[in-house]
Amino acid sequence: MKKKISLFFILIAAGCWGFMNLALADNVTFQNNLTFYGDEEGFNGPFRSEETLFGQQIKSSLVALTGERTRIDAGFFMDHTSGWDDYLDLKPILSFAYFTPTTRLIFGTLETQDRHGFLEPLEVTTLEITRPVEYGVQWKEMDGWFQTDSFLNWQQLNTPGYPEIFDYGGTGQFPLSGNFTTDFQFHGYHQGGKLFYVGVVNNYAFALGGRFHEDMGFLGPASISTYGLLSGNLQGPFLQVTDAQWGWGIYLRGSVSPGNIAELYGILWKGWNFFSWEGDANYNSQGLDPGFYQSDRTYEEMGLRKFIVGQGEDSLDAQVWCSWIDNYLDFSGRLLARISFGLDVPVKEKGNPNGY
Amino acid sequence: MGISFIARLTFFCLLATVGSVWAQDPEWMEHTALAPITGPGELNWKNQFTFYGDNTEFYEPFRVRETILGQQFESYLDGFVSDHVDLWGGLFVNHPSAQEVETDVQPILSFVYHTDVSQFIFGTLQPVYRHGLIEPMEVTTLELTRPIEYGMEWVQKDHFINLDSFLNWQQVLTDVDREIFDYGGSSELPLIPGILLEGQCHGYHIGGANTDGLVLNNLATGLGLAFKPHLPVLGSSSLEIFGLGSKESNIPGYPGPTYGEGLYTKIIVSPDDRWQFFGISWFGKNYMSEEGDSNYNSLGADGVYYESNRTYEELGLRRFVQIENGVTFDFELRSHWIDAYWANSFRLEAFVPFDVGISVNKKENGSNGGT
Repeated sequence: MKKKISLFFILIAAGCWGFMNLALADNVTFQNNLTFYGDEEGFNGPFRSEETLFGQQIKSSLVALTGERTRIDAGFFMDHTSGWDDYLDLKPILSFAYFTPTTRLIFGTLETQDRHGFLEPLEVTTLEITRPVEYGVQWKEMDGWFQTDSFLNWQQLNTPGYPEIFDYGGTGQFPLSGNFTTDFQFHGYHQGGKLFYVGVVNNYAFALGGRFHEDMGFLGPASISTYGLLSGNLQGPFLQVTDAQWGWGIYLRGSVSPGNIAELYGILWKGWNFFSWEGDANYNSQGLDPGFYQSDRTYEEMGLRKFIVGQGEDSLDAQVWCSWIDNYLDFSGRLLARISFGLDVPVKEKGNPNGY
Repeated sequence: MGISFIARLTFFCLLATVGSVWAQDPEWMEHTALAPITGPGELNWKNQFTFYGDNTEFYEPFRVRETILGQQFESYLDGFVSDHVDLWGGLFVNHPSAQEVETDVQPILSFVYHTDVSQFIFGTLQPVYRHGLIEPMEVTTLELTRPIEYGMEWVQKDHFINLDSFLNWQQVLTDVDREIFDYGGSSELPLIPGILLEGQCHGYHIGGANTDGLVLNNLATGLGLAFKPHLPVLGSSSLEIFGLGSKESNIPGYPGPTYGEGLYTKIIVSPDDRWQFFGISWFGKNYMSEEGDSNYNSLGADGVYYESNRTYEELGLRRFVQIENGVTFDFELRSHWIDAYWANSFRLEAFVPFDVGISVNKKENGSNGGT
């Protein structure tokens, strides 16, 4: 661990020192993002167990424009889970981005806000806290007629005893009118690797639907969205319990914000043999115990959320909700505070008669 | 049979080398590059970020599928020592893309003797395109997995020859480890305008005298002709034909003969000098190179499977995009036919270099007369 940390800091020191003197950069910003999180998932059903996440994270990096269309980002990410004996998780931030006014192609450390926009059955919401840093390639498009966040996230290298692990996919939106948007989502998960063979897992989940939103007077901004979902669990450990490789589900979500005080929302889910490896397990048919399997599933959630936006990207997100997992009733809550600040780094191009 | 083939190849190589002494109009070898050197009295801080992704989907007996994804950072100072000597000092960092990996840090420390047309590097080597070696000699993924090497390198780039020769020490002999090194190089001799004689050699050694462990010697050599006509319609299109020979010795239980051979042909069509369409054809017989692309070998990936007569074809598309301020993006799509098997692969690379000039004021002699 000490070796890892020391090597890591060599990397960061070199990268940061380099940027401070970056001759090509027109604009260098020292960008910092702090997150304070607390999340309590009070589940005791057969699909998902109780979990508490509590800690602080910082992402600190130097962002340098290397031209009109390219940018580089180098720094570090640190996660400190609250507790005396917990270790400090350090990860490098190193990404290259090619961008136009509407497009961003990213290579290296990815942008992971809101889990790329996935619904809960495709990616569980706690990933926003447990996996804020991902590595791979990403395409983000923000056109007027089409938006997407597509990515490949490499999680684990194929080494002796360990399979390669990666997930991939993305979300795409086509706004059809001012308040109606169609939405397509796909998430894939893979374990495998041929260099050192240790078994294969292939899981796919698709969603197709739409979202309608409208200002409803005293009920404030309101929205309703509905999706049809399909999952394929073609290779993996759970197929010994069931031979149902394909499953599907219906997801409904509605919300109102009376007086703009807080968002009151509800989720309804009906699933048949649905299984997504990285999704919220409360939507799956496979239980925590590999021997537990329930083909027909229902899940309901009702919650209250208050999202306060401050200056820039500062925000406070408070949420409580209760869940009905088939016949089980559970309560959960989350508090997330995010603070961002950037400092312009004065870069003086060195006058050099030799043109360096 | 094998010995006579190597002998004929060597003899032909000698004849061709002597015959090309007076060759004119050199065609600069794409793979051989003299590293830029700092001018007198200067200190140049050189940096480069590399973002890479390479995926090969091989499901066949010779090579297994592999994905390489990550970021690299290279930072070193190039200091002027004298008119012909520079020193490089810095570090190289590789971070494979994954949640729980160790970041690999290697030092960069080199003594560089240079003239206008040649460079001798002692210490850390920064090979360009695997020293110019073709795929049967060194697999292309080494550009990502071994971007720096340690040893000696001589690069010559003049009107007579373009040469990149090296010795790369990979592992030092210890009580528990064998010594491992590879060596060789590639050369181009311009014969007449648009036609070049090419020679390549790659050796790989595992050994060490002070223990009784494995000793392995592998040698691959190649002699070829390159046609680079630079015609208006064809742009920078080219055709390369190589005859190759290999020698594999000292492997206990090796299923094939010691000597092998092969014929390698590569055609590149790039009419607009931007998009590059390429095709490779290979016929091999008992060929084996330890560090080559194993799709060209007769020995399978499991070390047991063996197929004496081999064929391999590859078709690909490549685009090297210069974005801005030295920032470049390289992508490549390939389709492979390995005997009866078919597979696809691709590679993405982005390079972000930046150099910083540092003014260095030499300290004047003090009263004690020291420097």
